[in-house]
Amino acid sequence: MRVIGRRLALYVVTAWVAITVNFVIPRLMPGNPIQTMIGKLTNQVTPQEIQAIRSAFGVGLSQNWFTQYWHYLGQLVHGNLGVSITLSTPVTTVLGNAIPWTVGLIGVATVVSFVLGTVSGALLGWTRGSSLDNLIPVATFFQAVPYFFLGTVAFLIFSNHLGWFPGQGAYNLSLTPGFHWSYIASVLRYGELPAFTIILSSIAGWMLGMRNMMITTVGEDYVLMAVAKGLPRRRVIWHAARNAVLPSIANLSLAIGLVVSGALLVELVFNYPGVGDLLFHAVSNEDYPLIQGIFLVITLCVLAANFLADLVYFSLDPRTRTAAVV
Amino acid sequence: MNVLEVRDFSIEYGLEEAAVHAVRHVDLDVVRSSVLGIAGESGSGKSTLVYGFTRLLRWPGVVAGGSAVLRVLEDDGTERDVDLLAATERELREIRWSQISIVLQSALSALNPVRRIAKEFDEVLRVHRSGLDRHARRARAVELLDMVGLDEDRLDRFPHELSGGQRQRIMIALALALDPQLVIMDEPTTALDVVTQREIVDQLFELRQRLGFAMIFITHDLSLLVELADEIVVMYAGEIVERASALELYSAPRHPYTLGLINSFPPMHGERRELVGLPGSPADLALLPTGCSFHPRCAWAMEVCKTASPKAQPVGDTGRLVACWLHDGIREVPVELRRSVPQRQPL
Amino acid sequence: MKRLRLPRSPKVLVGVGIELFFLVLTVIGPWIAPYNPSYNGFAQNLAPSAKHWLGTTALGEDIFSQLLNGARATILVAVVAGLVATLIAMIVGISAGYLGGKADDGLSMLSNVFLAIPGLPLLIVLDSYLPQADRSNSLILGLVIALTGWAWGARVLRAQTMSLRNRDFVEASRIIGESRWRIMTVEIAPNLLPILASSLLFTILYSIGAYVTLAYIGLTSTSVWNWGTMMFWAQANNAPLVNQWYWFVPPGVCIALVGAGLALINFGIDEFINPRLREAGLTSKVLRRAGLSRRVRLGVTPVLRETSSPRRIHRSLQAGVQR
Repeated sequence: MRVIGRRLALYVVTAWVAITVNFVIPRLMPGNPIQTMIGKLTNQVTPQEIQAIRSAFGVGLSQNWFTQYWHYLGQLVHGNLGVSITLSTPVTTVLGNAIPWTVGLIGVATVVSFVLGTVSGALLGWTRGSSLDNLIPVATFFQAVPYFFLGTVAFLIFSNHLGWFPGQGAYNLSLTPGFHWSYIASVLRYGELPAFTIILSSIAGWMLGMRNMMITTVGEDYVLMAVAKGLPRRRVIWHAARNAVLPSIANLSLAIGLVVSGALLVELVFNYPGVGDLLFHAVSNEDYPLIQGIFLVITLCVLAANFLADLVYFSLDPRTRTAAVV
Repeated sequence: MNVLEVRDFSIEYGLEEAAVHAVRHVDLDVVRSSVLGIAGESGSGKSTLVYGFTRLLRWPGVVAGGSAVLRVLEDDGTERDVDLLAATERELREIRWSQISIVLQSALSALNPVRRIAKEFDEVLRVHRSGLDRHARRARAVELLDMVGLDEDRLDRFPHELSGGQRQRIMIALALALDPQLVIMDEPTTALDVVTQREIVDQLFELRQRLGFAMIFITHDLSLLVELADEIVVMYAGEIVERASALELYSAPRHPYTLGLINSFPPMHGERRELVGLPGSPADLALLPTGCSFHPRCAWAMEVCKTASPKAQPVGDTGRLVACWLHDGIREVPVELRRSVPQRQPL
Repeated sequence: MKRLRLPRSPKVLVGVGIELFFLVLTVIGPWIAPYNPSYNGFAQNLAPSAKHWLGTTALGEDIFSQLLNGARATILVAVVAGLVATLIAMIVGISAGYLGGKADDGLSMLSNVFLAIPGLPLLIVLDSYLPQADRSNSLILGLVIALTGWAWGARVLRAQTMSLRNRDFVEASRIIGESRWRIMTVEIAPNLLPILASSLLFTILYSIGAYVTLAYIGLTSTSVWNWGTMMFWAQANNAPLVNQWYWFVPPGVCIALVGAGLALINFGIDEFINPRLREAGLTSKVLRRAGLSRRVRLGVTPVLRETSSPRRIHRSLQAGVQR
């Protein structure tokens, strides 16, 4: 329990750091970008909104940083992330529309990638020296390909050329959203190519990591013991794999960060209406409230996912319950 | 009646020119319900030997020649021969643990760190004794722990929560789970302190008396074998250099290496002896000396030892074997190597 | 210090070859480019031809020249970022691992925080606030990227340092009375070399990805040519939709090759660190000659049959064997 408490404390601290970064950065950066931004806006936005932006970013205010910080934290607690300049809607609303798409796409793709990757990695590690080993250089190559490049190529080949998959968007726009089959089917269909891209880019990492760990684990005495006991081969592989997967789960935190980063770009390529698309839009238009809102929400989601992964790890490795963990 | 017969057994690491000969032309017999001790320094090939004939040797180890036959005594009194080297994987799986079990050297690494002890017992019982239900399996596990002097609550622990001695006892209990005919112990006490060593050895002695299994006990500490073993085999550089009953070997060694080994370890009881180690270091298997492998370290090495390798010859009429030129019948045997065997146990 | 047996597997050699090629390109790229990459007087959207090996962009620039020029910025920033990040990781990780106690707690917390915050979003936030002028400065970009990428290396180095700290030779140095600083730099650091190398390569890999991604989104200055910017322009001009593969595929392939080369070298280092991963003479030729099936399974030690050629027992002096 203590160990879980420590991890939770870590995430709380990290969340706080992220929040503070959001607060501090615009105030630290040279060149006064906020002022410039406000200067560009005066025609399209109401005076109240300008005031809101001013207080959110601390421009032209008389209060010192501490008061501003307090005010900022207060706003956050009320769920107020500011108003997007370019879209003239509250950031929370905009994010609320985009997040389900991103979570769905990334969530499904990551789970599939992890499962396929670790299973194939385990088999690769067990059957050393077979023809399966030829997969390794292929996997290594795909690991190095940037997500968005893979997405673009996939789009080009499978959507543009072969027409097997729709290329843009999350669902057929002629349909109305709702809990009926044609909509759901459309969502699934449109999600296939983006998900496939994410899976292909990320699977190599799992596969190779698991393979290496599997080879190390098979060299352990308890695997030999399992063989000496006369256990069926499948059972022996299971023993080895179950122990070998632990570092992969421990690394999930790092991996989630990378997968999320890459997946955001994939959304861009396929015009998928998720957070990635939104981020690009915000960056191109220097919509700072939106940029910061997205950063904060993404960070919090990744932290939550990390915490879940940690819980899974603790339940799988009893050694962590008595000893202190990294 | 032998439960295990190994003939002309050889093991190599690697293939072709680069092969290292780890075990060379070993003959071994284990009499049913008896204890055979295998003694030697690290690198002598003793562990490699047993992993070899049980086919558990890891790559790049290969069996290079010879035969190994397990004689299984069925319930109805008939004997069934199992050719260990020709057996298929399925046949091996069937006799593993149910006929031959093995206690690995390090209990901590031999037990799966993420599983409770109960699971280890449950699993092996489930695979080999499909007739038992969950409760029967648990009952058997409790019975086994009791045999080695441990409480039932140890079953629900993880390996890292137990002491070294407790883990080793659990390994022994596990090894006996299916009432095997042959139990192999690979240096089971090396990692333990002297007091615990004693307890474990006593425990093994008592268990063997009670259950009647045959045992192979591998160690580098000869003194442990004196009371426990019926017969002892000494190995050096992959070969057997001496074979004799425990009493004969310990009180009246014939091979210079055996003498050196005995003098390296003080016995728990008995008279104080001068501790003389063995000069030099164990032979490098990749670059063996010519002739007798031991001659560079031998106090009595002669010219013939440098050029010709001695074969194991019978000495006396009790079935002892020694591989040493000193005992070829022609030469004068040094006084240390021709002691007579006392009539009773040297304790 | 154990003898350095450098890995010699083909994977590593291919990886090193690829990296050397691109390193050379980094240096001579702009010199051997046929045209000025920013010159936009050519006809637009030309397909590859003898005059323009990779055709021209929608603005009339030569793509091949852009590719060659792009190597320099891309690789330079990645290497700078990698070096800086690894340096930070070394300082934080080794100190945390060796000093232990409160220092360790603090430094570990620091690395864990940076590890948990997703890299790209943080990078975007930091970068979007950078003034335009700074975005063309490779050094500053490299620093910003390094700031987001050091944490993993620090964690790995800390773990390794902790396991080394308790080893005998370090104990011995402590007993003799070597200063903590000296122990860290002279005793521990050399043994960390393989992990350091691996960490450096991994960080460079990450940095290339980060830099190219930033360029793709448009957060770097467009006056500096790099492979990511090429793809930015390609995307902005709908190159994928109109099947202008020669615009965005080459830079992507180059990035992938550089990355793959690094990954392959890392493979070799992994095998060096962990001897179990090495091949151990498992080549199929050798196996078949010995009469064994292709794969050796655990628990079924192979038994050689009499068909093999007679083997000779190695002796230090060749003499007859009496048996």
